[in-house]
Amino acid sequence: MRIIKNVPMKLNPDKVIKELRLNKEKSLTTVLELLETAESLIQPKVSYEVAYVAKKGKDTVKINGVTFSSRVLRVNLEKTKKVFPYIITIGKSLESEASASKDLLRQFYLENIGDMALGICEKYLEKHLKKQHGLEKLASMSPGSLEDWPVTEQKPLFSLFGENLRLTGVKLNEHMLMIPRKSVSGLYFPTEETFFSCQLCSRENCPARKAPYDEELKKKYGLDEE
Amino acid sequence: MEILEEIAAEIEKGDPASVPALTEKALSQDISAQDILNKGLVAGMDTISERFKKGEIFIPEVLIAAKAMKAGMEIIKPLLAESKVEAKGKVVIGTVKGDLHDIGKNIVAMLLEGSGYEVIDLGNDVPKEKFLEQVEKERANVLGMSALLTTTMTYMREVIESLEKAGLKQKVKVIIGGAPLTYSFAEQIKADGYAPDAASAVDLVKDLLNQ
Ligand code: B12
Repeated sequence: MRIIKNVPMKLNPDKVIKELRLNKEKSLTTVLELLETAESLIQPKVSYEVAYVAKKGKDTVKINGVTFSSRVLRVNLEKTKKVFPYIITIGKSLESEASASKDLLRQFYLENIGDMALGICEKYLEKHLKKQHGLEKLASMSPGSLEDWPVTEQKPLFSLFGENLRLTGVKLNEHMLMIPRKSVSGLYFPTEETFFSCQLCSRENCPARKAPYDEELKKKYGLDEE
Repeated sequence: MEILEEIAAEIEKGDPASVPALTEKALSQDISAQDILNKGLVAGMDTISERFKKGEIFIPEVLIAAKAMKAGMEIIKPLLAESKVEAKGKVVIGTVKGDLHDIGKNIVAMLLEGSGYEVIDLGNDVPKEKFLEQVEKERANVLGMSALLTTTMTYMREVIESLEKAGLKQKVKVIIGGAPLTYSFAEQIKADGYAPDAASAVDLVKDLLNQ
């Protein structure tokens, strides 16, 4: 397992203002103050493994001997041998500060800044993997992001880390919730085509949407007949 | 009535500094606390909710307005209590056991308060025993439950079953919400309602309590 802790965490105030759809004039001082607080509380920890795809079933795929059940994952890994399971957290401090805040607006801002920090970590890992493994294009999937790959698949994903799991700083509770709460997990894999789970998700008005919903794509994955 | 409209307008603008002053001014004009509440503070929040539902404004603006509303509320609260003005209803709310996500639930609680309901927030990771105890003790009109994952939302069914066993289900309206929830899940577990966002949650409560 590899652990990266020194993820550069310079959050850009303009980007925060844009993502939260704030009025720049009115909110700049607040945002600058919040970013200063947040940056001192964010403790990024990116853990990943290099794992290998073995057998594939109809709707299953075996990675390092562990079976995952997901048609989409299985299709996405058709030509793939090497994959990169990851667990990312920014630690407990930011979420504690947010929860302790009696000011709901401040809580909301801090929560969102934390989510953005997790996004930065994911992007950083992607770049790192491309460089380290000489890969041109990567895509990722996360348990729970699609009905086809439910959040219960966190269990096999976490099992890929074996003994090293405790070093990631993240635990799964019995309801499959990662603790610290501000954590994300998934699997990066080399790909030729761009792929985002969002393309297969029809949820409207999602603040986290990375790509438009693409009904046609469902056919490719055989998800249209169900 | 002009001053009440002004209060509502300042809430829409989200100015927490001017609302308390205007509230004081309205009181000095012998306008009742109840009128200030309903025709000023709540009226302002209603407009904000409508605009949020239409997608004209986003959560931060709603929270800024709610903060302004709360600042005015602080001033009239003692007067409302004195004149025995009752809240429109009592809502017990919490995020279910196993789940620690609370920002969505907190926003729902804040908007309900902003609409004149009394809200008892049990926090997150709430076991069914605590929901039951509080619903009974507070004689709640509504029980709200929140969850952010499909694996934690299933606990809502257990809470509803316990309410049934305890003979409380008929006495309280159960509403549910959170990112993975749906109308059909609400139906399946015999909840009384589901709402996709905080403004619709307020409408739902009004509806269920026939207000
Ligand atoms: C931001 C986000 C995150 C953030 C953190 C969220 C947080 N609050 O801390 C981060 C990046 C950490 C995250 C992580 C994960 N997430 Co996420 N996340 C989201 C996202 C994009 C928005 C959630 C959010 O915070 N919204 C803002 C708040 C204000 O809204 P809200 O909580 O929904 O509340 C509103 C309404 O739901 C409603 N409401 C809420 N409670 C109640 C209660 C009542 C009674 C009523 C009437 C209404 C009501 O009113 C609120 C205000 O309008 C959603 C998708 C979406 N568009 O909703 C996915 C989503 C919740 N995540 C999802 C998943 C799968 C995950 C991960 C498991 C992914 C992974 N493998 O890493 C992890 C789990 C983290 C963990 N600790 O275990 C799935 C859950 C589906 C499922 N299968 O359970 C969703 C639905 C996305 C999807 N792909 O479908 N996530």
